[in-house]
Amino acid sequence: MATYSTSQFKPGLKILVDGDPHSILVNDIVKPGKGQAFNRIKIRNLKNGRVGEKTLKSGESIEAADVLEVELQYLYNDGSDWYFMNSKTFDQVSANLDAVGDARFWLKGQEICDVTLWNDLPIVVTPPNFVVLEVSESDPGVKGDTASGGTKPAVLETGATVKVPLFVEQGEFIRIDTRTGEYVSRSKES
Amino acid sequence: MTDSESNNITIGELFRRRAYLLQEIRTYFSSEGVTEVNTPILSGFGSCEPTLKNLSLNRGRRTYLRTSPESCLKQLLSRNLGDVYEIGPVFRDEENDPSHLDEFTMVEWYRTNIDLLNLIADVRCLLARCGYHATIDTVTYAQLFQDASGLDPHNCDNSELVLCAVERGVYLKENDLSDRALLLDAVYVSSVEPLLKSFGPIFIIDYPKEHRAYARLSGATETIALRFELIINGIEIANGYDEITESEEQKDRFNAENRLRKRRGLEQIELDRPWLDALSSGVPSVCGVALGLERLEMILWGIPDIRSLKLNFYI
Repeated sequence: MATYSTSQFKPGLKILVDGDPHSILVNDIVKPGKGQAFNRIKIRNLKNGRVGEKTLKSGESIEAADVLEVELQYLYNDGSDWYFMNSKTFDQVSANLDAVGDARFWLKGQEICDVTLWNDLPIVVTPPNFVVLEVSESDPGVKGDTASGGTKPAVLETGATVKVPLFVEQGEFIRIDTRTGEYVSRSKES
Repeated sequence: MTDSESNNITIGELFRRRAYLLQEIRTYFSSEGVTEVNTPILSGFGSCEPTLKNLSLNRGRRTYLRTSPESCLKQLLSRNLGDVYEIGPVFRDEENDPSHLDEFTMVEWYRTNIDLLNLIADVRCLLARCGYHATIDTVTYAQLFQDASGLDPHNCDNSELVLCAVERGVYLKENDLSDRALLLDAVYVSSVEPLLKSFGPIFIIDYPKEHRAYARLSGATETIALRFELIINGIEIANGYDEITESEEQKDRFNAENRLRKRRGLEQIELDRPWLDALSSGVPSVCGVALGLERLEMILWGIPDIRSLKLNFYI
Protein backbone atom coordinates (compact mmCIF):
# COMPACT_ATOMS: atom_id res chain seq x y z
CA MET A 1 0.00 0.00 0.00
CA ALA A 2 1.67 3.18 -1.17
CA THR A 3 1.31 6.24 1.03
CA TYR A 4 2.17 9.92 0.76
CA SER A 5 3.54 11.92 3.67
CA THR A 6 2.20 15.45 4.15
CA SER A 7 5.60 16.76 3.05
CA GLN A 8 4.91 15.29 -0.41
CA PHE A 9 1.51 16.97 -0.73
CA LYS A 10 1.05 19.19 -3.75
CA PRO A 11 -1.77 20.08 -6.11
CA GLY A 12 -2.63 17.20 -8.43
CA LEU A 13 -1.55 14.43 -6.04
CA LYS A 14 -4.09 11.57 -5.93
CA ILE A 15 -4.97 10.27 -2.48
CA LEU A 16 -7.52 7.97 -0.92
CA VAL A 17 -9.97 9.75 1.41
CA ASP A 18 -12.93 7.96 3.02
CA GLY A 19 -12.50 5.16 0.50
CA ASP A 20 -12.72 7.37 -2.58
CA PRO A 21 -9.92 8.65 -4.81
CA HIS A 22 -9.38 12.40 -4.49
CA SER A 23 -7.12 14.92 -6.15
CA ILE A 24 -5.42 17.61 -4.03
CA LEU A 25 -6.39 21.08 -5.25
CA VAL A 26 -4.74 23.27 -2.59
CA ASN A 27 -2.25 22.35 0.15
CA ASP A 28 -1.70 24.81 3.02
CA ILE A 29 0.52 24.40 6.05
CA VAL A 30 -1.13 25.91 9.10
CA LYS A 31 0.71 26.33 12.36
CA PRO A 32 -0.87 27.97 15.37
CA GLY A 33 1.84 29.99 17.16
CA LYS A 34 3.14 27.48 19.69
CA GLY A 35 1.04 24.61 18.45
CA GLN A 36 1.15 21.57 16.26
CA ALA A 37 1.56 22.13 12.51
CA PHE A 38 -1.20 20.83 10.24
CA ASN A 39 -1.66 20.45 6.51
CA ARG A 40 -5.04 21.69 5.36
CA ILE A 41 -5.94 20.37 1.95
CA LYS A 42 -8.75 21.17 -0.43
CA ILE A 43 -9.60 18.02 -2.35
CA ARG A 44 -11.86 16.96 -5.21
CA ASN A 45 -13.55 13.58 -5.20
CA LEU A 46 -12.63 12.10 -8.57
CA LYS A 47 -15.76 9.95 -8.69
CA ASN A 48 -18.38 12.64 -8.17
CA GLY A 49 -16.46 15.91 -8.47
CA ARG A 50 -17.38 17.10 -4.97
CA VAL A 51 -14.90 19.45 -3.35
CA GLY A 52 -14.12 19.19 0.36
CA GLU A 53 -11.51 20.00 2.98
CA LYS A 54 -9.41 17.79 5.22
CA THR A 55 -6.82 18.58 7.88
CA LEU A 56 -3.94 16.31 8.91
CA LYS A 57 -1.14 16.69 11.40
CA SER A 58 2.02 17.54 9.48
CA GLY A 59 4.16 14.43 9.26
CA GLU A 60 1.23 12.02 8.96
CA SER A 61 0.77 9.88 5.88
CA ILE A 62 -2.25 9.12 3.78
CA GLU A 63 -2.91 6.29 1.39
CA ALA A 64 -2.13 6.99 -2.24
CA ALA A 65 -4.83 6.45 -4.84
CA ASP A 66 -3.64 4.58 -7.92
CA VAL A 67 -5.23 6.94 -10.39
CA LEU A 68 -4.27 7.36 -14.02
CA GLU A 69 -5.66 9.62 -16.74
CA VAL A 70 -5.59 7.90 -20.12
CA GLU A 71 -7.02 8.38 -23.60
CA LEU A 72 -9.11 5.39 -24.61
CA GLN A 73 -11.22 4.65 -27.65
CA TYR A 74 -14.87 3.80 -27.08
CA LEU A 75 -15.81 0.51 -28.72
CA TYR A 76 -19.33 -0.63 -27.88
CA ASN A 77 -21.98 -1.10 -25.22
CA ASP A 78 -23.25 -4.58 -24.41
CA GLY A 79 -26.39 -3.48 -22.66
CA SER A 80 -24.85 -3.13 -19.21
CA ASP A 81 -21.24 -1.99 -19.65
CA TRP A 82 -19.32 0.27 -21.99
CA TYR A 83 -16.09 -1.05 -23.49
CA PHE A 84 -12.98 0.99 -24.19
CA MET A 85 -9.64 0.16 -25.77
CA ASN A 86 -6.14 1.54 -25.38
CA SER A 87 -5.17 2.04 -29.01
CA LYS A 88 -1.46 1.53 -28.24
CA THR A 89 -1.61 -1.64 -26.16
CA PHE A 90 -5.03 -2.86 -27.40
CA ASP A 91 -5.93 -3.53 -23.74
CA GLN A 92 -9.66 -3.33 -23.17
CA VAL A 93 -11.53 -2.17 -20.08
CA SER A 94 -15.22 -1.99 -19.32
CA ALA A 95 -16.90 0.93 -17.58
CA ASN A 96 -20.16 0.77 -15.67
CA LEU A 97 -22.99 3.30 -15.73
CA ASP A 98 -21.56 5.21 -12.72
CA ALA A 99 -18.31 5.83 -14.55
CA VAL A 100 -19.80 6.59 -17.96
CA GLY A 101 -22.59 8.81 -16.64
CA ASP A 102 -23.87 11.37 -19.11
CA ALA A 103 -21.05 10.56 -21.52
CA ARG A 104 -23.24 7.68 -22.71
CA PHE A 105 -25.50 10.16 -24.50
CA TRP A 106 -22.69 11.20 -26.84
CA LEU A 107 -20.89 7.95 -27.64
CA LYS A 108 -21.66 5.79 -30.65
CA GLY A 109 -18.23 4.23 -31.25
CA GLN A 110 -14.66 5.20 -32.22
CA GLU A 111 -14.59 8.36 -30.06
CA ILE A 112 -11.35 8.99 -28.16
CA CYS A 113 -12.33 9.72 -24.55
CA ASP A 114 -10.39 10.91 -21.50
CA VAL A 115 -10.80 8.13 -18.98
CA THR A 116 -9.79 8.27 -15.33
CA LEU A 117 -8.67 4.84 -14.15
CA TRP A 118 -8.59 3.95 -10.46
CA ASN A 119 -6.91 0.62 -9.72
CA ASP A 120 -7.11 0.06 -13.49
CA LEU A 121 -10.90 0.47 -13.63
CA PRO A 122 -12.62 3.49 -15.21
CA ILE A 123 -14.26 5.86 -12.73
CA VAL A 124 -14.86 8.87 -14.98
CA VAL A 125 -15.34 8.99 -18.75
CA THR A 126 -15.11 12.36 -20.46
CA PRO A 127 -16.24 12.36 -24.10
CA PRO A 128 -14.65 14.62 -26.74
CA ASN A 129 -15.83 18.23 -26.39
CA PHE A 130 -17.62 18.01 -29.73
CA VAL A 131 -19.30 15.03 -31.36
CA VAL A 132 -21.25 14.63 -34.60
CA LEU A 133 -24.40 12.52 -34.42
CA GLU A 134 -27.28 11.68 -36.72
CA VAL A 135 -30.80 12.91 -35.99
CA SER A 136 -32.82 9.73 -35.93
CA GLU A 137 -36.16 11.26 -35.08
CA SER A 138 -37.55 14.78 -35.22
CA ASP A 139 -40.88 16.24 -36.29
CA PRO A 140 -40.74 18.37 -39.44
CA GLY A 141 -40.35 22.06 -38.61
CA VAL A 142 -43.31 24.35 -39.22
CA LYS A 143 -42.75 26.22 -42.48
CA GLY A 144 -42.19 29.93 -42.26
CA ASP A 145 -41.15 29.78 -38.63
CA THR A 146 -37.41 29.38 -39.27
CA ALA A 147 -36.53 33.01 -38.67
CA SER A 148 -37.99 33.19 -35.20
CA GLY A 149 -35.21 31.05 -33.76
CA GLY A 150 -37.63 28.49 -32.42
CA THR A 151 -36.42 25.07 -31.41
CA LYS A 152 -37.83 21.55 -31.32
CA PRO A 153 -36.68 18.33 -29.73
CA ALA A 154 -34.67 15.83 -31.75
CA VAL A 155 -33.72 12.28 -30.79
CA LEU A 156 -30.20 11.33 -31.84
CA GLU A 157 -28.85 7.96 -32.88
CA THR A 158 -27.44 7.45 -29.37
CA GLY A 159 -30.86 7.93 -27.82
CA ALA A 160 -30.09 11.42 -26.44
CA THR A 161 -32.67 14.16 -26.91
CA VAL A 162 -31.43 17.66 -27.73
CA LYS A 163 -33.06 20.90 -28.77
CA VAL A 164 -32.37 21.76 -32.39
CA PRO A 165 -33.46 24.64 -34.68
CA LEU A 166 -36.67 24.01 -36.60
CA PHE A 167 -34.82 23.61 -39.93
CA VAL A 168 -32.91 20.52 -38.81
CA GLU A 169 -34.38 17.40 -40.36
CA GLN A 170 -34.37 13.75 -39.59
CA GLY A 171 -31.34 11.99 -41.13
CA GLU A 172 -29.12 15.05 -40.91
CA PHE A 173 -25.88 15.12 -38.92
CA ILE A 174 -25.44 17.73 -36.21
CA ARG A 175 -22.55 18.87 -34.04
CA ILE A 176 -23.06 18.82 -30.27
CA ASP A 177 -21.05 20.44 -27.50
CA THR A 178 -20.89 17.60 -24.96
CA ARG A 179 -19.98 19.95 -22.09
CA THR A 180 -23.34 21.73 -22.34
CA GLY A 181 -25.33 19.14 -24.30
CA GLU A 182 -26.30 21.84 -26.79
CA TYR A 183 -26.64 21.87 -30.56
CA VAL A 184 -23.83 23.78 -32.28
CA SER A 185 -24.40 23.43 -36.02
CA ARG A 186 -25.36 21.11 -38.84
CA SER A 187 -22.53 18.93 -40.09
CA LYS A 188 -21.72 17.18 -43.31
CA GLU A 189 -19.53 14.62 -41.59
CA SER A 190 -21.01 11.46 -40.33
CA MET B 1 9.33 31.00 -7.13
CA THR B 2 8.73 34.65 -6.45
CA ASP B 3 11.27 37.04 -7.85
CA SER B 4 12.10 40.63 -7.21
CA GLU B 5 9.77 41.89 -9.95
CA SER B 6 6.63 40.12 -8.75
CA ASN B 7 6.75 41.94 -5.42
CA ASN B 8 7.89 45.25 -6.80
CA ILE B 9 10.92 45.26 -4.57
CA THR B 10 14.51 44.94 -5.75
CA ILE B 11 17.36 43.47 -3.74
CA GLY B 12 18.83 46.94 -3.24
CA GLU B 13 15.49 48.29 -2.06
CA LEU B 14 15.02 45.31 0.26
CA PHE B 15 18.30 45.94 2.05
CA ARG B 16 17.81 49.72 2.21
CA ARG B 17 14.40 49.21 3.81
CA ARG B 18 15.68 46.59 6.21
CA ALA B 19 18.59 48.77 7.29
CA TYR B 20 16.16 51.59 8.00
CA LEU B 21 13.79 49.29 9.90
CA LEU B 22 16.61 47.89 12.06
CA GLN B 23 17.71 51.43 12.81
CA GLU B 24 14.20 52.34 13.96
CA ILE B 25 14.02 49.25 16.17
CA ARG B 26 17.41 50.00 17.73
CA THR B 27 16.48 53.64 18.26
CA TYR B 28 13.31 52.56 20.04
CA PHE B 29 15.07 50.17 22.40
CA SER B 30 17.85 52.65 23.03
CA SER B 31 15.31 55.30 24.03
CA GLU B 32 13.70 52.76 26.37
CA GLY B 33 16.99 51.84 28.02
CA VAL B 34 17.01 48.28 26.68
CA THR B 35 20.51 46.94 26.01
CA GLU B 36 21.35 45.21 22.76
CA VAL B 37 23.23 41.94 23.18
CA ASN B 38 24.61 39.26 20.88
CA THR B 39 24.55 35.67 22.05
CA PRO B 40 25.82 32.48 20.39
CA ILE B 41 23.86 30.90 17.54
CA LEU B 42 25.33 27.47 18.24
CA SER B 43 24.07 25.78 21.37
CA GLY B 44 24.67 22.52 23.16
CA PHE B 45 20.96 22.31 23.94
CA GLY B 46 18.04 22.02 21.58
CA SER B 47 14.62 23.48 22.19
CA CYS B 48 12.44 21.13 24.15
CA GLU B 49 9.16 22.50 22.78
CA PRO B 50 7.33 19.55 21.20
CA THR B 51 6.14 21.58 18.21
CA LEU B 52 9.55 23.03 17.32
CA LYS B 53 11.92 21.12 15.10
CA ASN B 54 15.56 21.65 15.98
CA LEU B 55 18.27 21.84 13.35
CA SER B 56 21.41 20.14 14.62
CA LEU B 57 24.96 19.64 13.46
CA ASN B 58 26.83 16.37 13.55
CA ARG B 59 30.35 16.98 14.78
CA GLY B 60 31.07 14.46 17.47
CA ARG B 61 29.00 16.11 20.15
CA ARG B 62 25.50 17.26 19.43
CA THR B 63 25.31 20.96 18.53
CA TYR B 64 22.12 22.80 17.74
CA LEU B 65 21.35 25.90 15.76
CA ARG B 66 19.24 27.93 18.18
CA THR B 67 15.48 28.17 17.65
CA SER B 68 15.54 31.37 19.70
CA PRO B 69 18.02 33.27 21.91
CA GLU B 70 15.78 32.66 24.94
CA SER B 71 18.18 30.48 26.94
CA CYS B 72 21.13 32.86 26.58
CA LEU B 73 19.02 35.95 27.26
CA LYS B 74 17.70 34.38 30.46
CA GLN B 75 21.27 33.65 31.49
CA LEU B 76 22.03 37.33 30.96
CA LEU B 77 18.97 38.36 32.98
CA SER B 78 20.49 36.53 35.95
CA ARG B 79 23.63 38.68 35.56
CA ASN B 80 21.73 41.87 36.33
CA LEU B 81 22.00 43.42 32.89
CA GLY B 82 18.49 44.78 33.22
CA ASP B 83 16.30 44.85 30.09
CA VAL B 84 17.93 43.24 27.05
CA TYR B 85 17.16 42.60 23.40
CA GLU B 86 18.73 40.66 20.58
CA ILE B 87 18.22 40.75 16.83
CA GLY B 88 19.61 37.73 15.03
CA PRO B 89 19.06 34.59 13.00
CA VAL B 90 17.18 31.59 14.38
CA PHE B 91 16.48 28.22 12.76
CA ARG B 92 13.71 25.66 12.44
CA ASP B 93 13.90 22.37 10.61
CA GLU B 94 10.87 23.17 8.46
CA GLU B 95 9.99 23.53 4.82
CA ASN B 96 9.98 27.06 3.48
CA ASP B 97 6.53 28.17 2.41
CA PRO B 98 4.76 31.51 1.91
CA SER B 99 4.77 32.25 5.65
CA HIS B 100 7.62 30.10 7.03
CA LEU B 101 11.40 30.17 6.65
CA ASP B 102 13.86 27.64 8.01
CA GLU B 103 16.17 30.56 8.83
CA PHE B 104 14.66 33.85 9.92
CA THR B 105 15.45 36.92 11.98
CA MET B 106 14.15 37.10 15.52
CA VAL B 107 13.75 40.29 17.48
CA GLU B 108 13.52 39.10 21.07
CA TRP B 109 13.43 41.27 24.16
CA TYR B 110 12.89 41.07 27.91
CA ARG B 111 11.48 43.80 30.17
CA THR B 112 11.96 43.37 33.88
CA ASN B 113 9.36 44.19 36.50
CA ILE B 114 6.42 44.83 34.16
CA ASP B 115 3.26 42.79 33.55
CA LEU B 116 1.98 41.30 30.31
CA LEU B 117 -0.38 44.18 29.51
CA ASN B 118 2.53 46.58 29.77
CA LEU B 119 4.53 44.34 27.47
CA ILE B 120 1.66 44.48 24.94
CA ALA B 121 1.79 48.27 25.21
CA ASP B 122 5.54 48.04 24.58
CA VAL B 123 4.92 46.02 21.40
CA ARG B 124 2.40 48.63 20.21
CA CYS B 125 4.98 51.39 20.71
CA LEU B 126 7.66 49.48 18.82
CA LEU B 127 5.26 48.83 15.91
CA ALA B 128 4.33 52.51 15.79
CA ARG B 129 8.03 53.37 15.68
CA CYS B 130 8.34 50.95 12.73
CA GLY B 131 5.53 52.74 10.91
CA TYR B 132 2.66 50.41 11.78
CA HIS B 133 -0.22 52.48 13.11
CA ALA B 134 -3.31 50.27 12.76
CA THR B 135 -5.52 49.77 15.80
CA ILE B 136 -4.86 46.39 17.40
CA ASP B 137 -7.67 44.87 19.45
CA THR B 138 -7.14 42.51 22.35
CA VAL B 139 -9.23 39.35 22.53
CA THR B 140 -9.04 36.29 24.71
CA TYR B 141 -8.25 32.87 23.30
CA ALA B 142 -11.43 31.56 24.94
CA GLN B 143 -13.57 34.18 23.20
CA LEU B 144 -12.16 33.36 19.76
CA PHE B 145 -12.39 29.64 20.41
CA GLN B 146 -15.95 29.79 21.70
CA ASP B 147 -17.20 32.00 18.85
CA ALA B 148 -15.70 29.71 16.21
CA SER B 149 -16.40 26.29 17.74
CA GLY B 150 -18.98 26.74 20.49
CA LEU B 151 -16.58 25.15 23.00
CA ASP B 152 -14.94 26.53 26.13
CA PRO B 153 -11.24 25.69 25.70
CA HIS B 154 -10.53 25.85 29.44
CA ASN B 155 -13.31 23.56 30.60
CA CYS B 156 -14.77 21.41 27.80
CA ASP B 157 -14.12 17.67 27.67
CA ASN B 158 -11.58 16.09 25.33
CA SER B 159 -14.44 14.18 23.71
CA GLU B 160 -16.12 17.46 22.72
CA LEU B 161 -12.88 18.65 21.12
CA VAL B 162 -12.53 15.36 19.25
CA LEU B 163 -16.10 15.55 17.94
CA CYS B 164 -15.70 19.14 16.80
CA ALA B 165 -12.36 18.47 15.07
CA VAL B 166 -13.58 15.35 13.30
CA GLU B 167 -16.75 17.12 12.15
CA ARG B 168 -14.50 19.74 10.59
CA GLY B 169 -12.46 17.25 8.62
CA VAL B 170 -9.46 16.70 10.89
CA TYR B 171 -7.87 13.25 10.86
CA LEU B 172 -7.10 12.07 14.37
CA LYS B 173 -5.42 8.88 15.46
CA GLU B 174 -6.13 6.92 18.59
CA ASN B 175 -3.00 8.29 20.24
CA ASP B 176 -4.28 11.85 19.67
CA LEU B 177 -7.58 11.42 21.49
CA SER B 178 -6.21 12.12 24.98
CA ASP B 179 -3.56 14.67 23.89
CA ARG B 180 -5.44 17.80 24.93
CA ALA B 181 -2.84 20.26 23.60
CA LEU B 182 -3.13 18.61 20.21
CA LEU B 183 -6.94 18.49 20.32
CA LEU B 184 -7.08 22.21 21.12
CA ASP B 185 -4.81 22.81 18.12
CA ALA B 186 -6.98 20.58 15.91
CA VAL B 187 -10.10 22.61 16.73
CA TYR B 188 -8.17 25.89 16.52
CA VAL B 189 -6.75 25.06 13.08
CA SER B 190 -10.09 23.89 11.69
CA SER B 191 -12.32 26.54 13.32
CA VAL B 192 -10.47 29.64 14.47
CA GLU B 193 -7.52 29.88 12.12
CA PRO B 194 -9.57 30.12 8.88
CA LEU B 195 -11.30 33.19 10.36
CA LEU B 196 -8.16 35.04 11.46
CA LYS B 197 -7.47 36.51 8.02
CA SER B 198 -10.86 38.21 8.09
CA PHE B 199 -10.15 39.90 11.43
CA GLY B 200 -8.16 43.07 11.90
CA PRO B 201 -4.90 42.86 13.82
CA ILE B 202 -5.38 41.30 17.27
CA PHE B 203 -3.49 40.41 20.39
CA ILE B 204 -4.79 37.03 21.54
CA ILE B 205 -4.35 36.72 25.31
CA ASP B 206 -5.06 34.23 28.10
CA TYR B 207 -4.10 30.91 26.52
CA PRO B 208 -5.23 27.60 27.99
CA LYS B 209 -2.64 26.07 30.30
CA GLU B 210 -1.90 23.30 27.78
CA HIS B 211 -0.42 26.04 25.57
CA ARG B 212 1.46 27.86 28.31
CA ALA B 213 4.89 26.99 26.92
CA TYR B 214 7.14 28.90 29.38
CA ALA B 215 4.54 31.40 30.58
CA ARG B 216 3.34 31.70 34.15
CA LEU B 217 -0.19 30.61 35.02
CA SER B 218 -2.77 32.88 36.57
CA GLY B 219 -6.15 32.65 38.21
CA ALA B 220 -7.19 30.86 41.38
CA THR B 221 -7.34 27.55 39.52
CA GLU B 222 -4.28 28.22 37.38
CA THR B 223 -6.05 27.40 34.13
CA ILE B 224 -4.92 30.46 32.21
CA ALA B 225 -1.46 31.05 30.80
CA LEU B 226 -0.10 34.61 30.84
CA ARG B 227 0.78 34.59 27.17
CA PHE B 228 -0.10 36.58 24.08
CA GLU B 229 0.24 36.29 20.35
CA LEU B 230 0.04 39.16 17.91
CA ILE B 231 -1.81 38.15 14.75
CA ILE B 232 -1.91 40.38 11.68
CA ASN B 233 -3.44 39.29 8.37
CA GLY B 234 -3.94 35.84 9.86
CA ILE B 235 -0.29 35.21 10.68
CA GLU B 236 1.59 35.26 13.97
CA ILE B 237 3.94 38.22 14.20
CA ALA B 238 4.97 38.06 17.85
CA ASN B 239 4.59 35.85 20.88
CA GLY B 240 5.03 37.03 24.47
CA TYR B 241 5.10 35.56 27.97
CA ASP B 242 5.04 36.58 31.55
CA GLU B 243 8.08 34.39 32.05
CA ILE B 244 8.62 31.51 34.44
CA THR B 245 11.40 32.60 36.79
CA GLU B 246 11.43 29.65 39.20
CA SER B 247 13.98 27.01 38.34
CA GLU B 248 11.87 24.10 39.60
CA GLU B 249 8.81 25.22 37.64
CA GLN B 250 10.90 25.58 34.48
CA LYS B 251 12.39 22.12 35.03
CA ASP B 252 8.89 20.70 35.40
CA ARG B 253 7.98 22.31 32.09
CA PHE B 254 10.98 20.76 30.32
CA ASN B 255 10.13 17.37 31.78
CA ALA B 256 6.47 17.71 30.80
CA GLU B 257 7.52 18.65 27.28
CA ASN B 258 9.81 15.65 27.05
CA ARG B 259 6.93 13.43 28.20
CA LEU B 260 4.75 14.90 25.44
CA ARG B 261 7.62 14.41 22.98
CA LYS B 262 7.86 10.78 23.97
CA ARG B 263 4.18 10.23 23.53
CA ARG B 264 4.25 11.90 20.13
CA GLY B 265 7.21 9.78 19.07
CA LEU B 266 9.71 12.66 19.07
CA GLU B 267 13.29 12.59 20.35
CA GLN B 268 14.08 13.48 23.94
CA ILE B 269 15.95 16.73 24.52
CA GLU B 270 18.56 17.10 27.23
CA LEU B 271 17.58 19.58 29.96
CA ASP B 272 19.09 23.01 29.34
CA ARG B 273 21.18 23.18 32.52
CA PRO B 274 22.61 26.70 32.05
CA TRP B 275 19.03 28.01 31.68
CA LEU B 276 17.90 26.26 34.88
CA ASP B 277 21.05 27.36 36.74
CA ALA B 278 20.42 30.96 35.71
CA LEU B 279 16.91 30.81 37.19
CA SER B 280 18.29 29.19 40.36
CA SER B 281 20.76 32.02 40.84
CA GLY B 282 17.91 34.51 40.61
CA VAL B 283 16.15 36.30 37.76
CA PRO B 284 13.95 39.34 38.28
CA SER B 285 10.25 39.18 37.44
CA VAL B 286 10.25 39.57 33.66
CA CYS B 287 8.09 39.56 30.54
CA GLY B 288 9.59 38.60 27.20
CA VAL B 289 8.51 38.64 23.58
CA ALA B 290 9.84 37.31 20.28
CA LEU B 291 8.92 38.97 17.00
CA GLY B 292 9.64 37.61 13.52
CA LEU B 293 11.34 40.40 11.60
CA GLU B 294 10.54 39.09 8.11
CA ARG B 295 6.89 38.62 9.05
CA LEU B 296 6.76 42.21 10.24
CA GLU B 297 8.31 43.24 6.93
CA MET B 298 5.59 41.31 5.06
CA ILE B 299 3.00 43.44 6.86
CA LEU B 300 4.82 46.76 6.60
CA TRP B 301 5.71 46.40 2.93
CA GLY B 302 2.76 44.33 1.68
CA ILE B 303 4.89 41.30 0.74
CA PRO B 304 2.69 38.24 0.08
CA ASP B 305 5.41 35.58 0.23
CA ILE B 306 8.01 35.64 3.01
CA ARG B 307 10.46 33.76 0.81
CA SER B 308 10.98 36.86 -1.28
CA LEU B 309 12.59 38.46 1.81
CA LYS B 310 15.49 36.01 1.78
CA LEU B 311 18.49 36.58 -0.44
CA ASN B 312 18.93 32.94 -1.43
CA PHE B 313 15.61 33.00 -3.26
CA TYR B 314 16.79 35.74 -5.59
CA ILE B 315 19.80 33.76 -6.76
